[in-house]
Amino acid sequence: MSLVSKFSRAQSSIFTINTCVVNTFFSSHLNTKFYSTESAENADERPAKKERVFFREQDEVDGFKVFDVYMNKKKDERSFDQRVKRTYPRVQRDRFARYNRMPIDQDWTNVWPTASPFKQTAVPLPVRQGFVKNMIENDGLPPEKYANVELIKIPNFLHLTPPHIKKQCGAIKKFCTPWPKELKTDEDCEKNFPIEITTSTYIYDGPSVRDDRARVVKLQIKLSSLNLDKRSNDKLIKLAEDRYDPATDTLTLITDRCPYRRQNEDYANYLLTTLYYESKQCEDWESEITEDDMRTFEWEKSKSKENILNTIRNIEKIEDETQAVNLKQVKTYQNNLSKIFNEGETDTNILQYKQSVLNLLKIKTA
Amino acid sequence: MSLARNLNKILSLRSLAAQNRLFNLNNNLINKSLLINSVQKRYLSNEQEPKIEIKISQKAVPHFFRCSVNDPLKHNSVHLNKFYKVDEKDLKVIDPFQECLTREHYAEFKAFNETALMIRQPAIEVIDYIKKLDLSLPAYRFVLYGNENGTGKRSTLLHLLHYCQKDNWLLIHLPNWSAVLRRSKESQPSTYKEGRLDTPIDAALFLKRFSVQNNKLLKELNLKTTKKYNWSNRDSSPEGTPLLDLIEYANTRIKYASDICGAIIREIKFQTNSNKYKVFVAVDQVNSFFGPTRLKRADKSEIKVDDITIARNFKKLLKNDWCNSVVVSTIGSVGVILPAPDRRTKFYDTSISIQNRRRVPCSLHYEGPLTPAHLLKKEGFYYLEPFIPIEVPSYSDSELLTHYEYYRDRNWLQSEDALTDDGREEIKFLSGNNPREFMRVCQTI
Repeated sequence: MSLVSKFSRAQSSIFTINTCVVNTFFSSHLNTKFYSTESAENADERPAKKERVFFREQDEVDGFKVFDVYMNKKKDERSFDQRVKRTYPRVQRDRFARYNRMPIDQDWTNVWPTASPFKQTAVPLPVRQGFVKNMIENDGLPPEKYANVELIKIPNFLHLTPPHIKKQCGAIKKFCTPWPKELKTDEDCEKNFPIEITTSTYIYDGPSVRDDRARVVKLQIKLSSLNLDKRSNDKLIKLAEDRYDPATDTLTLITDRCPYRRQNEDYANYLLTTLYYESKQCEDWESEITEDDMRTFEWEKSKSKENILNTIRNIEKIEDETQAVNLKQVKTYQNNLSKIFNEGETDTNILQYKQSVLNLLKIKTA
Repeated sequence: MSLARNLNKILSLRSLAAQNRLFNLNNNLINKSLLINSVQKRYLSNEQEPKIEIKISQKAVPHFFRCSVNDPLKHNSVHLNKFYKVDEKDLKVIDPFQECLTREHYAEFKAFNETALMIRQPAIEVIDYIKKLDLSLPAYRFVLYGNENGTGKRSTLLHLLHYCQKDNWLLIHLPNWSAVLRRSKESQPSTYKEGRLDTPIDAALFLKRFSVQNNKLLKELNLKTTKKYNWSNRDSSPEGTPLLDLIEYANTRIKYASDICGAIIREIKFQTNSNKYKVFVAVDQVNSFFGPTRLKRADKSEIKVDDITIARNFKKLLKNDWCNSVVVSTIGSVGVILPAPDRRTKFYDTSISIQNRRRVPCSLHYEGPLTPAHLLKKEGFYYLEPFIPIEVPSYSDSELLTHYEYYRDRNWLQSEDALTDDGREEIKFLSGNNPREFMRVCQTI
């Protein structure tokens, strides 16, 4: 026997095995089909399927009736559209549940003394929470509180109702002292307690009481309450940069670099004291201040004085400086010019300036 | 539609021009009966003659928006809010190169065949002041400003120039000076002092303008130099050369134009003490003198305003260390020189969608407040101090009405809707009483 014939025989044997498998698979499948047709004949066990009714006469071609699958089909009584809606059994009103047996005038603080997750038996309120897909599901209403996980997940404030707060405040009241009689108005408070410290505490329902943001301390003070002279006041404002608000004359220091609130508060106080003493100190180089460095326009130190004295010397023939400065028109000019630079160029300010220049140059106006 | 409108407008203009030409011709004939030949006689004897007469009689009816007095010396508050006609000969003297106003203005003047300016409050106010001034005192400085752009600062300046030209003032006029600081036509290092920059063409242009404006007066006065000037090792002009000769010399040797410019300014400034003449200095966009420039040296170092020879000399005119002089200047956003966009790092207008955004680099515009202290800054403020600020406001209702009627008279408004009262109100609303906007809105209808 040649090698080739051996190989071909082996191949044919494999093929035969394969066909066997296919045959068995088909036969089993077919068997089930056959079974289903056979069972339909037993009218006792299953409801008899109605015979198909055609509402149009079937066409005949060469003596055979043509089976039209789609056109002649009559709809079933129970079609897909006419399906009956599913109904969900409602939770019936349980007369013996705890929330139904609670008296109306009960003390709520005793029922719910501290923070705790939601308990449906203890809350006599018809609360609902959750998502419904459409009107079919649960009649379009959110699920009730019974066995509702959504309600348990969210934080509640049932322990912080007005009666709770009233009761707790009443309990602490014995530790409080009366409001001092001297501090009747807000101005009195500002005068006696110029430093205002603002902190915030964060309370929420969770495993930890601590919050990172609680460490931030805001210290506010009015600069006028520091009783500084003009030079040191200007220096403090220069040092404070954007922490000073000129509109309200307040200095605001916000500290958050230490981990605890008390540490930050100490640091804010430290900053304030250093700012205060630093601005009080007068360094040698401070005498070199130029006009551009100044916060507000000052006519006496500006180049404008020189210009005006020159023109006055030509117009009025006055050589003495102090005499020239004390002239009426020079003083009004000085006021109006500083208004323009300090308050801004409004229409009235420019008009006033113009008028003072006309007076200075002795131009007659009609 | 728009083409038809334009055609209508052109036709009407042409008819206007023809009418005017006929009018002039008629006038000439009446004044000089020299040109009448047989053909013209026949022409006049035809039926057309009475028609012309009718037109003349129509012209003779005074309109309420026209001022009967065309001489600026006689203008006062009675003539407020009216248009007066600037004589063409005067205009050629005052504004020889058509630089005083914008191009749009000159286009309109050409179309209307006349130059009409509105007599407005700020101009009358300054004229009133100038009439009362004691000129033996140091120079008076006026600063024209407006809270918006396009309120008519330059036309006020033109009116004042006209007044001073009629009143025999020596005019020194610097229109749109900031253009030189942005990009001068030509520049070369100065021979007089190292580090300075000469701008010969700009200086020559100034000298030309100056000689045209004051030709008559300079011939009368016959001003001469008081000192010997050396332009270079070879060239010099001796003491006692007339200023007109110096200007001619600058025409032939443009290289020395900026130095000659400085010499002339110096001479004019020093000789005012003689009380022979009075000087009127008109500067447009004066705030450009107190800011940066866009010019650069060969080694790319920045040039300040004081490094430019003529700018340095013009700045001396703004000081009040001389007498017999009035300085009227305007300030505006054009004078604020912002850094030029770099060619390598182009930036585009991001407010426009990418599809519609053109590949044209953005140019920066000043958009801050337009009041004196903001534009002049402290440097300029101290330099001009004490100056008289004069606001040029936008149109009042009556001013807008007269301008509207003037346009209507000139057949500038073609759309029928624009001629109704509602149309006028709409134009007023669209322009927001701003003269420039009003002009632009009326151009399209």
